[in-house]
Amino acid sequence: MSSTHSLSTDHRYLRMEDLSRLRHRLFASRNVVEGHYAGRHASPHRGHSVEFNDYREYTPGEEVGAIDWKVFGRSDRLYIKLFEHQTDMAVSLLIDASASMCYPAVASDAAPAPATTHRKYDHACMMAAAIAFLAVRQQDRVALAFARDGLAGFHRPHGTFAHLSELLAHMEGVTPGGNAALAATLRALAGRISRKGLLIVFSDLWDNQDDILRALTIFTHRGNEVIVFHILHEDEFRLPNLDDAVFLDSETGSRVRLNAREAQADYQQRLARHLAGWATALRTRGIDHNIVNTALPYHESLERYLFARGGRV
Amino acid sequence: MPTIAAITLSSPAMLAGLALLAIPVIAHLLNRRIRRPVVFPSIAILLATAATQAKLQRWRRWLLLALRCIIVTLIVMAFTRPVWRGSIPLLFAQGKQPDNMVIVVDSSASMAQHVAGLSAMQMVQSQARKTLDALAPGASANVIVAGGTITPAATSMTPDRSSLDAALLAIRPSAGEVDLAAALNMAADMLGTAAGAGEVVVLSDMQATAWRDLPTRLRDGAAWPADTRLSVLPPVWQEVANVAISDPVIRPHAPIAGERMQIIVRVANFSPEARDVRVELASPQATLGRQTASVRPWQSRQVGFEVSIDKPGDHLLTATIADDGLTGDNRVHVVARVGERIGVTVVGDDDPDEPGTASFYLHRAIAPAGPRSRCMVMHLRGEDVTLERIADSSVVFVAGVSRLTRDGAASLHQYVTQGGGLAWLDAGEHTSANMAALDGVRPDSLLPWEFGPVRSGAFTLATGDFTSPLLRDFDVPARDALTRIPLRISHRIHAVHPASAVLLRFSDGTPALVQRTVGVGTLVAANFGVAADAGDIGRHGAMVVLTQSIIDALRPHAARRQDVTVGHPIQLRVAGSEPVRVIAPDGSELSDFSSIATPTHADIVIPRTLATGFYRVEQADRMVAAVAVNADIRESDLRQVDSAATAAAVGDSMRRDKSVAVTAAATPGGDDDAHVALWGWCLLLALVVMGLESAFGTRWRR
Repeated sequence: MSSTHSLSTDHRYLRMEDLSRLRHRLFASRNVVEGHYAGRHASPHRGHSVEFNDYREYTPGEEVGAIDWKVFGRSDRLYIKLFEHQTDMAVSLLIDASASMCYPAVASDAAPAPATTHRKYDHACMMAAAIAFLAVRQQDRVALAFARDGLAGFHRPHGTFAHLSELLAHMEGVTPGGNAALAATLRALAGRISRKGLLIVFSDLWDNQDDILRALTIFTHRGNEVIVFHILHEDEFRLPNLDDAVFLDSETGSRVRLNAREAQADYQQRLARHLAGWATALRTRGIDHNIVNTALPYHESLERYLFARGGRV
Repeated sequence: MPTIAAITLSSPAMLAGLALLAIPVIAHLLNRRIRRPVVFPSIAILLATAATQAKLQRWRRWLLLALRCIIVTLIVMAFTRPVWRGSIPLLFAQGKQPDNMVIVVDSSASMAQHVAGLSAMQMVQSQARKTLDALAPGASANVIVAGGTITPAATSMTPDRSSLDAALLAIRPSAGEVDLAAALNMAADMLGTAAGAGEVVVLSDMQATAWRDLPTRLRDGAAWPADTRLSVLPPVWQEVANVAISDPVIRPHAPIAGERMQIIVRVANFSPEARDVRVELASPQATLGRQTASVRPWQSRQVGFEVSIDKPGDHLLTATIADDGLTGDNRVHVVARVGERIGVTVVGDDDPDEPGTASFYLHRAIAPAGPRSRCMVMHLRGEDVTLERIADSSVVFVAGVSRLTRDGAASLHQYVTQGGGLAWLDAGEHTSANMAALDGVRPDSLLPWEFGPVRSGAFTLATGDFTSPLLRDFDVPARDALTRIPLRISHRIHAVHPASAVLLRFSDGTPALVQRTVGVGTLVAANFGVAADAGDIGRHGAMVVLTQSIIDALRPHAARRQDVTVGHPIQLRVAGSEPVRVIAPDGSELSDFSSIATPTHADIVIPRTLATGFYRVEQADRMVAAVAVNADIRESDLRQVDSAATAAAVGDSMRRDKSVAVTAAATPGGDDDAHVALWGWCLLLALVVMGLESAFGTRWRR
């Protein structure tokens, strides 16, 4: 295993103190994945390996050396041994880089927010960076893609720390904006990913739900495991602390006037139904749905998730 | 006043303030709140929320607008001074409805009092109309107006409510007091003509004058039908404070042109608080004076004005105070009858220009201001006295005559018996002879006493009848001064004529000044002289007072000024035989009077005065006389006698062996007609609504 010393500098989205918290965490796939190299994860491919998996009846032309003669001795029938082929995992990270992920950077006045503003995009990148680190550390490969007006920026999966650094740098270089077009992005991404692996989506999912679900289903049908981190700002849970305001949609530019305080109760009810709808829709498709509040430090959210995931795998 | 349902608006012009409703409406339409722009990740859920909130916001804005409009309306209504006029009376709560009812309405002057924008009469009219409305359909009724005269609305009991209603509406307060006893007796007679249970309802302001001695003035209960009920409804208003002006007096009562006179009026405070009352005296041409008098609660005081009128004749003066709850007693009228200068003759043989002589002192006492005095003095020597020369004089003084001739004595005798006033201010030996000459004129002697011999010494005037018209102008200091004057010559008096009145006596009891009416004239005789050798009186100011008093007592008077209280008759005499017209205070020509004409004068009688003010008598379009008629001050004390106690007392006097039930209304001014001033409630309600608007507005803006 490569050590953390391969990362030469601190990155915005992955800092040394965060690495120390995560060094004992493993990130495994629940599904059988397809990989190139020998890794921790189960591979659907049966090949020569040290662990026996199953038998198959001998077909003339196959290697005689694969025949299990002990079984022949007991049954007078010829069978071939099949072995588990342990392989590495390809983790694909898809980060929503649409305008809505920029919140609260352009939250109220026309003047831009300070650079220290923690955007939803930043939160997503931090989570993605941490997962990428875990994956690389356990010799898995990481791919990275951004959803901004479709698939924008795709990094093929690699498992080196140098590759990880490149991914981190790319995250820092992206300026969120425009529409996510998440469904289209997923479809495009599906064409880039040929092997079974793990797809992790970091998005606020403010797109058409049906389109997104159909796109995600492509991955699940192929045997990929899909995890969705539904990232929302605290203001999206409770509404800003305002009276009368005009709310402008960050992506469509539509506007609505209301009193935020008076609307809060009704909004929260509707949001809860919205989130429950997403949870139900994703989980019935075997997709992990995790709601992330950017008010909570990302590493805490991730630790909780990994702890829970470790119990299920 | 306009009425909305049972609410009367005392100041309906204030309804124009409803135009202010435009303010909250315009504010509602222009309401543009400053909304903060917020860029939000997605407004998908907000759009659904806003749809729900928009309807709520709209209702809230309309509610706030409604509340603001209500506030403006309530404040405007408060300024219109609304008065609520209540509900049905409780007259019949105690038993069955009567078959016959007589409503007696007190229309005395005090019923003109105003309470909360309405007059007592209006409130009583409302009560009476409601009482009629509450009667059973088949019942008969009548209305008796107890005013200057007792007048029934119908000649007999009638079921025609509309005519009675019209009669009620036409009732107006009279100018004087009323005779409720006569009204009740009339009511008893009317009920006696109708079968069935009867009720008499009395509506009054319970002012004491109308109810004074009523129980004793009513007839015996025998006149009342059996099963009669008497109800005395108490006033539905609180007692009203009142200030009244009355009792005008002119001093002197017959002033002369150019003479300073004093107009005195009385201001009475019928309220529990002290009042500063501004009194203004005015003639039709000008304001003659203003004064402010401080009057204690339930007290009165006189206010005097010094006035001088140069033109002879009748001058119509009015004193007024500010209008209050009862306006009829806020002005008082008086006719100042200003006469010509008084012609006075002094008969004396001494030189009026020689100091110390009787004529000298008399001339200066009669006309102390010389040509500007009210008296013109003519001097005659005793031997020059003839009737022709003295006939035009108002008063003749005799003093210092050395010898009165027979013709002179006869002239003086005839002068007096024909109505002249003779003042004999002389003492001494010559006086006895002169008195004897006067006594010799027959058939009737003028002498007020039998003179005795002259006596010399030191005499002083000790006692006198200072209540007599001749001496009433002597106040205490003047009396004291008079009694200190030394006199040296007088006569013994053997006897005083029975027709003479002794006005002054010496310290020894000897008559010093007497007055005797002879025929239509008057003789005043002094038992002392005014010359310096007879005593010192000529040198004292008391001499002026005495002389002027004698002049006022002796001079012939024009018809004395009359002070008439409204409701009472006027009798007066005017000179001349031309036809007369009588003009009432409102300027209309009066027809209800009688005039008995003679070749020299006319005697006029106005049997009943119905209004206060001046009644003018005109001949040939010229005012020849005027009489002032004023309000009855007894109507000015608006305190209410207890209705229950009064009704009980009246019932006792009515009740004999007949079953006459007597009740007072159950709730004075409560469930009966309630006249409630509503403007305070309007303002209170406006404050409550303001609080609601503020609370809602604050909460919904948070």
